[in-house]
Amino acid sequence: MNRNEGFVVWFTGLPSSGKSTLAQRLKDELIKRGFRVEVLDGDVVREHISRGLGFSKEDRDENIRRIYHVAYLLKRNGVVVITAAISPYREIRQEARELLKDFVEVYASCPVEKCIERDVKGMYKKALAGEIKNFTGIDDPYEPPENPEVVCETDKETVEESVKKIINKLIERGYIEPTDEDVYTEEEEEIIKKRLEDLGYI
Amino acid sequence: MKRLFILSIDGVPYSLLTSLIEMGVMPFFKSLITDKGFRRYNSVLPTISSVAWASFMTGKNPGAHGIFGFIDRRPSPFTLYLPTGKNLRAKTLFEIVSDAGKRTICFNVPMTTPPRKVNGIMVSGFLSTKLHSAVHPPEIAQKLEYIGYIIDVDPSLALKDESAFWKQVHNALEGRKNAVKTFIGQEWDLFMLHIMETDRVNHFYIHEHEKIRSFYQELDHCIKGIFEYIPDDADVLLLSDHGFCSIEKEFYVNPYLSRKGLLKFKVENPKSLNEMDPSTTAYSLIPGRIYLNLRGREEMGSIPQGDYSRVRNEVVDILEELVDNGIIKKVWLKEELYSGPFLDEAPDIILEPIEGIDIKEGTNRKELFGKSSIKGMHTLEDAFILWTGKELKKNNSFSIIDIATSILEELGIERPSDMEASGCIK
Repeated sequence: MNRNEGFVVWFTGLPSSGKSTLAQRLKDELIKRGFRVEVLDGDVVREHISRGLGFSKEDRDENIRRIYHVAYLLKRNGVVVITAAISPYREIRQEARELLKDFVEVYASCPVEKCIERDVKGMYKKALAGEIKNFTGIDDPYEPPENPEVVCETDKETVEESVKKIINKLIERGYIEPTDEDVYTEEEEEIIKKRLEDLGYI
Repeated sequence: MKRLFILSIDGVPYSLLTSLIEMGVMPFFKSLITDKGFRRYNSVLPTISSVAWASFMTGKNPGAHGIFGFIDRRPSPFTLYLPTGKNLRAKTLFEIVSDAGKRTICFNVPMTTPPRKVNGIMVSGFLSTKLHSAVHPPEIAQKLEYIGYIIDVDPSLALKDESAFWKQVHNALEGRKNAVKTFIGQEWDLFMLHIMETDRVNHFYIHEHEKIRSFYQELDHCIKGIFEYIPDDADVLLLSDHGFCSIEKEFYVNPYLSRKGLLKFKVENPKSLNEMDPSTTAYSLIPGRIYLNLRGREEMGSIPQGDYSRVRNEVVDILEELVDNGIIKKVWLKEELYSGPFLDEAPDIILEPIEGIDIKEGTNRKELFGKSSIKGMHTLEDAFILWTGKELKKNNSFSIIDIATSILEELGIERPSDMEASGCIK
C-alpha cells in the first residue's frame, strides 16, 4: 500500500444484516487510531449521489459504481473509506476490488429470517406485503461473496467481536499498526482458545 | 547483595510431593527440604494459574491487578475476551526489580504475554503462540529455537496420541533445563523459570498413579539438572500456585441458574452467553464467577442499581442451597475476597469449590452434572513452597499474594507502598 493512500473496507450483506452498525463502530475505532475515515452508507448515497436511481440490476450496479468511484477519490487522498451498501452482485464488487486494490471485503452474514426479525427500517414488512418490489433477499437476489477477507456472523457475534475480526484483518494486511490492546491476530487467538478449551479452562 | 533463583512448578500439590517423597520417587527434591523451609500454603480464588501467578508477580489481590480468569467479559457491549498480560494492570516483580537497577531473567511465567520490557530477558508463557513474539529482547528467539525450547505442550495430544504427548512433555522439560544452562551465565539478580508441564500432566493423569509416579521421577531428575547450573551464591525458592485433586464430577452453573429462573436466553438451546435475554438476573463465567445483570453496567442490564444488594442477597440465598447439598464449599461476595481499583470488574459472587467437584460454566448444557476428558482440578489450600535456608510461616497461614514482599526483601529492594503482600518468611 502507498502510505499516503487510504484503504477501503467494503461491507456487503442483506438489508438489516448489520452493515451500518459495524461500519459506524469500525469508523469510531479507526478514528481512535488516528485515521481520517469516511463512511459511504448505502442509504445516504442513494439520497445524495444516486438520487433517481431505482433497484433494477442496472441501477444497482450504477449505484455501486458511483460508490466505488467516490471511494477511489477519497482513498487516493489518504482517507480510509468504509462502504456500507447491500452491493448484492458479485461481478460489480469484483469491479470495485480491481479498481480500488487496497480492498477488504467484509461479509455481514445473517440468515434472512433474522434480518426480517430485525427489519431496522420496516422495509422487509413492506416487501413481504408486496408494497415494494425488487427488495434484496425477498424478490431480488443476493450473491454472497465467495472469498471475502472477513465474515462477520452478525446473528452470532457481538458488534465488538465482529469489529475485532476486521481490525485483526487490517493489522494482518498491514493497513493499520497493532496497538497495545491487540495482542493476538485472529489466528493466534483461535490457537490460544483451543489450548484453553483442551485444558478445560474456558 | 544476594540474588534469587525461583523455580515455579505449576499445580504441584504439597500433599502429592510429600507422598511421592515418602515413596522414594523424588530423592533430589527430598534433599532440598529443611524442617522450616517447606510449607503447604494457599492459592487464590478463583484457583486458576493466571489469577494465581498474577497475584504472585504483583503481590496484590485480583481486585488490585485486574486478572480474574482465563476468560473474562466486558459488560457493555457484552464481549467475552481472553485476558493477557495487557490486562494485568499492576507492576510485576520483574519490573520492580528492573526499576531498582537490577537485572532479571524470567521464563514462561503465565500472564507475561506479551513480554514486558524488563531490564534483562522475559520469555512469555503459554498464552503466546510463537517464540518470536514471546521474547524480550527479540534477538533471543533464535537462540531459544536452537536449544529446542518450546512454549507449551499441545494438551490435545493427551487425548489423541499419548506417546506424542509424553514426548512433548519430555522435550519441554529438556528445553526449560537448556534455557537455564544457556542464560544462567548472564548477569542477573532475579532468575525465574516456570515449569508448566506438571499442570498439563496433572489435568489428564492425576488419577493414574503409575504414570504420575514415573513423570514426577523425571521431574525430580529435571530439577536436579537445573540445580547443577544454579550458582552457589544464589538462594533458591521453589513453589507451586495451587494443588490438584481428581475430579469426581463437573457441576455446571449456568444450567443451574437457568433452572432457578435467574438466567434466561433468547433461544431454546443457547451456545454462548451472547444469546442471553435481557430479563436475566445472573450469569456465570468459569469457574463459579457470577455476575448480576446490573442496569448501567451490563449491556442489557435489568436490575436497578438501587436493588443491587437486595438482588445479590437473594441470589446468594439460592446458591446457599448448593452448600447445603455438598456441591460447593462456600459462596463469597466480591468485597469479601477482593479490594482495589478493579473491584468493579470482579464477579459479584464467587463460588468456592469443594475438592472433587469441578465448577464449569456449561452454558450449552441442560444437565447440572457431567464428566469430561479432564481428570484433575485445581485446589485452593494445597500449594507448596520450599525456600532453602529460610524459616517460613506456618502451613496455610499465608497465600500466594504474600510472597512478593519476601522476594524483594531478599533482593534488598524496597517494597512499593501499594504492595499488599505481607511476606512468607517468619
